[in-house]
Amino acid sequence: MTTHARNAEFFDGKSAMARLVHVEVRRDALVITQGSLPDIQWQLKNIELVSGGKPGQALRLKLGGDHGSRLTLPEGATADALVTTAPSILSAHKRRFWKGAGVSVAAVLAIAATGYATMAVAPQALARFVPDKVVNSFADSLEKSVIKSSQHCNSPSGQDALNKLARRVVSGADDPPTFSLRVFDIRTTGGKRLVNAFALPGGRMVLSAGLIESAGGADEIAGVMAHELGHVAHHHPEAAIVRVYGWQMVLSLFTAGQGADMIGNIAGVLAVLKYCRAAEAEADAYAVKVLDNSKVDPKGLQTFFTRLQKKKSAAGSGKPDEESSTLQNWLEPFTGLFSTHPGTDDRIANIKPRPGGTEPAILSDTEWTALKEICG
Amino acid sequence: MRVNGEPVEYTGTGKELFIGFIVIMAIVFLPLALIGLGLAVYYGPESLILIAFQLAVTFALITLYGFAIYRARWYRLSRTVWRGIRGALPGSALSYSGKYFGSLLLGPMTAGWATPAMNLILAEHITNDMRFGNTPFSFSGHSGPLYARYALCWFGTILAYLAIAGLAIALFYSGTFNGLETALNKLGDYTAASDRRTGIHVVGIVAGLLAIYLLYVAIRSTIWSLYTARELNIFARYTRFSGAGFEFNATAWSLIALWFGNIVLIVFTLGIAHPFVEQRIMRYFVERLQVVGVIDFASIQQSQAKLDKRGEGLIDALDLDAF
Repeated sequence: MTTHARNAEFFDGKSAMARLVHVEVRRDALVITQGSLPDIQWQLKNIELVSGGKPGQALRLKLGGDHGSRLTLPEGATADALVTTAPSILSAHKRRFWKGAGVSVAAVLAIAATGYATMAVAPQALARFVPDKVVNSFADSLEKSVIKSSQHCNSPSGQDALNKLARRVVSGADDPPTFSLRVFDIRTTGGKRLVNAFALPGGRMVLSAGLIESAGGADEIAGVMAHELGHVAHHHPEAAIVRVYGWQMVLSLFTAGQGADMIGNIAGVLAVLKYCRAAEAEADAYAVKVLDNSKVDPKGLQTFFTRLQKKKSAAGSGKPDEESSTLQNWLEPFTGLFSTHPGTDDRIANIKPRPGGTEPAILSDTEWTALKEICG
Repeated sequence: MRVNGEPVEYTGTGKELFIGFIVIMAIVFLPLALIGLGLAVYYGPESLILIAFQLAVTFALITLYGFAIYRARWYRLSRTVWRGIRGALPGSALSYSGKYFGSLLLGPMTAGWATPAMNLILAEHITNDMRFGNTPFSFSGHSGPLYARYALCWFGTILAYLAIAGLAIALFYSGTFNGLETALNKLGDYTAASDRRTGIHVVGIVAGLLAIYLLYVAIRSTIWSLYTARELNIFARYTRFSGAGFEFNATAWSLIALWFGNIVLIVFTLGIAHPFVEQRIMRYFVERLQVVGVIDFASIQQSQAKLDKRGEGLIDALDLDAF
């Protein structure tokens, strides 16, 4: 055995002792000569770069799959020869890095996408399985936070008119859900009447007195009611409950159970009562079908939307409106079912009037007046 | 990063960590979350059964803290290669977990005064279990030298607490918080037509309270870094390996700089810089740790322990860190 100049440091992966060795680069292998011990051959194709390889740095190498042995080649002729003979050692190192980075990003995106898909689909699928007890307790607390001490408007003649209107709308539904319909005089703290309608869990539909006041005819109210009935029929409010619990669950997953005390937070519920565009479209489609079956012109729904839209754009055009304050504007997307909704324009455009209009009229003039005065 | 001139290599991979994370999510947290969800939906959000379940889960997770810390150290050591040799931690995570749980109980029961002694017991346990190759580390010493510094920090914290509480009370009586309750009510009020001033008022007060709290956290961390530095240095001195000893050169200010830098990195990158934070911590330890004496490298052989392909899932899930 000839003696060679020792040009590298070698750890054999069995002992922590460093050995100074001679390394020779052959066509397809690295030969490590360690004095009196037998030579070691590393196949070039199995060699991986651990670190180094940039100018001024030694090459630190290992054998793929081997957890221990390490070879450090200082900068110089041998290192250069290795890089020239097997340039893939350097490129594979970079490739491994980018592959790792790519896989990580892909994994994160895949998890996020799966999570999003689950949150988007699962609540709707599970909505009809929420027990009545839970639905009612949610509806109670929501009602409390939305209606508060507002006056329940139920003058006998007004209520009769409302019932008549509801019967007409429901006559168009194939399989109408169980529901209740009440009118409350909900006001802002400034005393302004709120124009809104809600479908709370458990089929509890609420119209605000402001909505009835601002409606131009019974068709419009019938349209709004049919829309809300669509939410009820499709279990959208119950889906919102599942969504709240779902987010709670995700939260508690990532905080090891400490996020669970947020359950019952009404603000959170309100935030999810803002339905997604698909749910609104579903409710609209339901409304149009039901109205059509009951021979009510869906144009009423359209008129109401249009008026609301005009009001919104007027408020958004920079006109100082003292009563709609900044804070309320922040909260608005979460609180109103007809509020600033990116899809409102489409929704309005998609409604086609019924040829022949509403026949016969839903309410007589006397009944309409009674409904307008339901708050007494 | 080099120790005694030889680079320290960390061979842990994101894939292993990810698998560990998924496994722990799938077998521990997902079932718990599903059961919790089921109970909440069926019995209602404020039912006693749900609260009992949450308490039981919290208790179980607390008992797992020590387990997670031990397993994380185990994983990191098994993925650390120096001079071609892997580290190892072949002991029982469960018995460590028991001691850790004991320290969690004793801490509050003794108003914190058991902490140095318990930290010593924990460090002793885990260090004596540590191996580099087939060669064990050893740890022996008393907690006595820690107590002077501990007392200083303990009373310092009391003073800081009193000062901050005094500040808060002074602000309260100066009327700064007046109107907070009504303003907050308006904030949560769905129909509230509150004006811009109310919003600014609430934001201002909340920001002020947060500032006071952050001030307290900053003062508290500064005080306790004095103790942590002392503990790190003493524990290093108590540690021996293959006939050599260790010196660690931690100072309160360097620790504060390390923590502050890490917090800034995490906050301003929304956590993306986490790997750099890990690296900063590793570098801090490696740069300040010195081996005193001669290690007989020829006698150190590779450990024959098998490598587990899973990462430190529980530690990530519980958001703990071994360092």
